[in-house]
Amino acid sequence: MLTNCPVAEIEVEDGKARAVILSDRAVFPGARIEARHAVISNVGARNTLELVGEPTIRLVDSRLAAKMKHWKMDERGSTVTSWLIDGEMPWGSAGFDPLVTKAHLMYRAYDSWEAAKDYVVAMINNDTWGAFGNMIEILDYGACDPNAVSPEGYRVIRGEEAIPYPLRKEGGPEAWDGPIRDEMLRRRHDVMESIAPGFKERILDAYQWTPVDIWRVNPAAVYGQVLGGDFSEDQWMLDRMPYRMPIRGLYMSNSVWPLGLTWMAAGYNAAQVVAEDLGVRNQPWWTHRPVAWFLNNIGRLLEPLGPVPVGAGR
Amino acid sequence: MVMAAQRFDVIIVGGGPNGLTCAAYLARAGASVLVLDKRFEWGGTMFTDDYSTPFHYNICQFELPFSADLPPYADLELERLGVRLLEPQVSAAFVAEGHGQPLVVHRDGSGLDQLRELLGAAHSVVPPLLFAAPAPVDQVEQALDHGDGKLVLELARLTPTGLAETLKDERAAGLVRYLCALVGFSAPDEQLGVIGAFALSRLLCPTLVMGGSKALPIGLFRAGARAGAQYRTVADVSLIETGASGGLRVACQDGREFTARAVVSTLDPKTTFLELVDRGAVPDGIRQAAEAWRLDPTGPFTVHFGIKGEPPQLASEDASRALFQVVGFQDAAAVDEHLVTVSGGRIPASPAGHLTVTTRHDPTQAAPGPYGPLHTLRFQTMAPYRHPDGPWERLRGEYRSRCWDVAVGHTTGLDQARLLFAFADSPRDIERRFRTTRNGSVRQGALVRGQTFADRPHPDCSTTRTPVEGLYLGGGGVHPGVPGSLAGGYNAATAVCGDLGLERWWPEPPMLQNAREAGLLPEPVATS
Repeated sequence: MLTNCPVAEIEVEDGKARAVILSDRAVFPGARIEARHAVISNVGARNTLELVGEPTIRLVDSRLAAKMKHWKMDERGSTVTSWLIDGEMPWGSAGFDPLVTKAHLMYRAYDSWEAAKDYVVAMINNDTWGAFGNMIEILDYGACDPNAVSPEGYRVIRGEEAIPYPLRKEGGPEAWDGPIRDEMLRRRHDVMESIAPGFKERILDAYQWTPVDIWRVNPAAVYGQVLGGDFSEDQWMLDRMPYRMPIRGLYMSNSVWPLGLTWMAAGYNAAQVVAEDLGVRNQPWWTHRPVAWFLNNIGRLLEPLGPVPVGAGR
Repeated sequence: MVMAAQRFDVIIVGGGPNGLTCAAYLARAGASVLVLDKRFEWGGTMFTDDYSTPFHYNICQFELPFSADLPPYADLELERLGVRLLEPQVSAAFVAEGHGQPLVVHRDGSGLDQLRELLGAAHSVVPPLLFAAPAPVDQVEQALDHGDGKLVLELARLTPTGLAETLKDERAAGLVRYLCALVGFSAPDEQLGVIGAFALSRLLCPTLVMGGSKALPIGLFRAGARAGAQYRTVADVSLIETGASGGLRVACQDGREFTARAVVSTLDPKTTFLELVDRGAVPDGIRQAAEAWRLDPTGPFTVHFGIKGEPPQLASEDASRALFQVVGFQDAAAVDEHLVTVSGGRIPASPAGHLTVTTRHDPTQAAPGPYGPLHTLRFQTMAPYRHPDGPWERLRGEYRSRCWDVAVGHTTGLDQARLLFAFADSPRDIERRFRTTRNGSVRQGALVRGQTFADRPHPDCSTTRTPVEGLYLGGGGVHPGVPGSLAGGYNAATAVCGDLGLERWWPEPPMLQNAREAGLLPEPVATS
């Protein structure tokens, strides 16, 4: 495992992925590392096209090359706020149910069905401030992990919200580095205060990440899209990228189905596909067969919800 | 369920650079090795994080005193394992308040011409003494009392104030006074000693690790893992007990237990002898030495800035390229006043200190874009361990802003940059992160003359062997104690390897043979 080794090129020769070439910023600048059997790209559709070269992919599948080139990433860029606060979250709804303080994952959801529709319209219309402050996912690590609370009782709270990336009304994406960054943090404090009265007083420190920051940290998260591509109809399930690419020995583990979340499914599935192609899938330590399980249980899964049989977990 | 204790040949307590070094050497010598660390990851104070931002922040140890001449670098093939070392050619600049032109010191010592010879001697004569068992300090000084060694002694006998007074240029005096504090000599009247002289000389030819200082422990980890060493994180050792069958028993807070023929503690002497080893096993003399062990009174307040824009400039291009850009002081007296204020637990009038534009030396420590240029800046100022007005957690943000103001006020161009991220650690924060950094200092005990060579930490255990059978010391609290030298771990590996009857696979560093031939290597203290 090599760190500080960004890849500049995936070398394809005679229709097969042969090697990767490291970039000039790598600890081994320009090094060529050969792959006997497989190169798995985890950097998403757009970057993979760049690494392999559009003409190379176009040669074997022009539609796929076009799809990769125009892979949609700009519908929902992540904006993240991290707070260090003194004490527990002062949820306003604790008066209704005190257990809310024990929840590690909270959503600031829509105020009404109409508000939900307004949010979607704002997202579609790239209306940054119209979309902002609606659907915030709030993580309170300390609620489930005592290690996440300092001896003094300080804890980290994280809020994340997806917002359209382009900022067309604000002068374009580079405006994410401008005053909008501070304004977003200020407004997010207000949103949090509205659902957790007294929150602002507890803030010891706060940091704001914009979609551009997310992209800078993770080049695969183009436009701050952390899930490998937008959730559009033409980028859903079988219309995501294939695990097996039409170039021999080239595989994808990002921009595939399912979405790139922390369930690690994309990496797992890529490993399955490569292992099958290499003839090494049957291992005494790797007996789990997710697809076989799914087919065996599909009848039950399609039934209306009812009591779950004991031992039906696998 | 009671789990049987797992057995190893060697257990290393602490997965910092010294512990990882020791593990790699011993695992490759054929020992079964287990490394335990309290934190969630490896590397100890050689820790770089990006906090999920586009910038790399070197949280504690930043520069190294050795480059490719570091013995483990060649022995463990660290270059092949991805550790690339960088040597900034301009070491330091001192921007005196109200003085137009900064003083600039290059890697070869030019700019500090009056001291060049003394620093050069310390730079070249002392290293072999670090990678060999120590002699009593007066015998070291006797051995050095000829040839270039005399120059080392001349420097070693100076105090920070005395050293500054030898310099005619006020800026040079201010710079040297400041750099003395960086290597642990905040007090004006403390002799540098041989180790202090060496640390100062090497601070003026610093080495960085490409990608961030953490890349070095990552390489050390790889070297050990390849040789079969095992590693456990979140393993907070609470007891080292003698009398167990087959060696020493090591217990963690969470109930896990391990036994080993040899245990190497890389923690400081107070922690090892007063908190971990069972009381009855520690001889009174060592216990008393641990109780009296002198720590640095405080450490730095370090601020990390991630900016968008061009890097800040000083008055000359050379100065702008300096690794340590010391700003906010008029002269040596102002540095003294700052340090006295901080040592007294007070907040100085201004957080003067030094700025490093990390990405000038290593562009990989900031993302290439999009929408750049992006640069990582590191600012450090000595600060009291406790803020007199309340907890640092509440006051850290305001002090961080003041540091930014100092950086902006003493450079050009920074006022045009967009500050995207700013993080800071007070000395207290550093102490909480890393178990070995008492009072927020990276040194596991002051590097004063009386705590060096055979007196680090006590004549009965400065060779890394201790009177507690099977227990060794291998961190910064044992000779030589120079942060980033990896010598504590290296020397412990040498001792353990011999005692366990393992084959020493690595060659003696050529510099030791050269020093022996030159008569600059005194006889070490007898080992227990």
